Amino acid sequence: MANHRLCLTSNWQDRVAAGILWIMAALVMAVFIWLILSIVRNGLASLSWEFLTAKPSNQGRSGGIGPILVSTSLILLVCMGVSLPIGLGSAILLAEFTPASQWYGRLVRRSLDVLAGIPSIVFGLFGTVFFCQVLGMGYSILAGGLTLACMVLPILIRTSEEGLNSVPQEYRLAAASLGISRTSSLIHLLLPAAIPGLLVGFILGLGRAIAETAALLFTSGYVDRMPESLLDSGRSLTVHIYDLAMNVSGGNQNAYGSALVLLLLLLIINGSASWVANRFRQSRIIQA
Amino acid sequence: MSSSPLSDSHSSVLSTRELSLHYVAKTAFRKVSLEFETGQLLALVGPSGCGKSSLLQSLTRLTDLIPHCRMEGSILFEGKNIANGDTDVVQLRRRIGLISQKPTPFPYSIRRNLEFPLKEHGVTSHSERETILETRLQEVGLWEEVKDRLDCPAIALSGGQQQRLCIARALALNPEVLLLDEPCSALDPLSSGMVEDLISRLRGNYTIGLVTHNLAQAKRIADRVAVMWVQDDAGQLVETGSTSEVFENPQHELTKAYISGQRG
Repeated sequence: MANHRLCLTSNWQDRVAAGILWIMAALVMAVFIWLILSIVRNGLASLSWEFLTAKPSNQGRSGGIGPILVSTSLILLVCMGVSLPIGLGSAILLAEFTPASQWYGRLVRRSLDVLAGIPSIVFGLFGTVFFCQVLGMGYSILAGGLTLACMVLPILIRTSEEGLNSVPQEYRLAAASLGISRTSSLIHLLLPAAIPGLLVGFILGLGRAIAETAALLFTSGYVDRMPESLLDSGRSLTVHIYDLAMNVSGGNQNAYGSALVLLLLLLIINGSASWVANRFRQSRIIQA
Repeated sequence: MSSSPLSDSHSSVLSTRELSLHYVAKTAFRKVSLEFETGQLLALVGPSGCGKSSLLQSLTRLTDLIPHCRMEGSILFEGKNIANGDTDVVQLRRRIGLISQKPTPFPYSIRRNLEFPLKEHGVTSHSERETILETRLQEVGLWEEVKDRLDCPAIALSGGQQQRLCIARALALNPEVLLLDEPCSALDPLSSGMVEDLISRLRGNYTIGLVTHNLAQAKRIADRVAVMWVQDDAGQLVETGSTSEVFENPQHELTKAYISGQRG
């Protein structure tokens, strides 16, 4: 038996194949680590309480990113605040109330898949015309957040739907055969059981929103003042990094600093989302 | 068999009249007229795909969940036709419990598996729920095994324990009828034996419909047996009778071949 196993692992083809796969994975990791290291190494010098709170000065070469952090948070808040309820609602409709074969469900799913692949600049143009001009919001945080919401929704809906679909069908049948209403089984059973999938949807959606630059240039603008309301124009971190790196000579140092803050922000939001979701899940569902 | 307290009257609490069920491309069963006599255990036997499980599901209107599924004929539950649209399916499913082949405890603690449906059906008092919990777990012979770990996940129980928990969960709602869809087939022989013993203990207290592939099991615990078969591309009822009649003196050719092991 032992001999036989030895024979299998010493097969040179398997070894070469495994080796190639390891190299591929190592390459991916290397790019990721190199990127992180370079941002941390170059950006760490800028990072300070002063940098996080102060107003930018000299076109951003010096000073901090206080107003930009506030604008970014507000844009994300509008985006997720609008897209989460709509996204979750649509996902529930698609996964629980629309049979996979029905033409209406198929049409909605197909449209969402197409929308998810549309470049963000197109969403930006749409946002400028629809939110800024037609609805008269002008260049504003509100218009930017809503444009991002449109952009994030397809991903959010499709991943949340996958999450709900991954809940075993037996749970639905068992709940129904105990005379439990669809709403109750959704709230107490299916949604908590689908939390891992829903969380993936949230993280992917938020990741796309927080990384977006092009669509925001057109909609929330690039004024770097502290916003006074949602109807003020506000500059997001990504727009700030773009501006410092491309239009401002000598802005690289603060661009790296802002990029580091962006990374940390993403980690903090994802981490806390996982924590909240798992707490909610544990309060409802007990794992074996 | 006459020892069953409810079986003296021999009236049927649940029956079907010319019931057919059509899926989009297939008819599951056609014109089945069957009586579930009060307090008796009726075993439904027959080869795979002859519509036994579909029949059980249609009795609690679970077939409503299947898109484009169409039912014809009638189902009489305590004299009322429940096959039509205006039936309160929530109440219906409380009064007719259905246990599926694969044990499906919810991903909760053992306690919450019983509490969740009870709360849903308006049992708001905590102490009342606790009493029901203990009574029902004792009824299925699970209490001694789990009383010290009621807050542990139900998924951690063995297959047989899970199935008995599911039966306790259905019994907690105090149903009149219990339908079991091959409750032993996904279990190991030992667990299967325990579940079978449980079903045979429940006989008499509930009206039971049991789908089984195991003819020996039907022979051991059923009061009556119904044999279904696929004829003309749809499941049909070929013979019903008391267990001894069907096994010792089958009338239909297919039944004879089936119970002698030549077909099916």
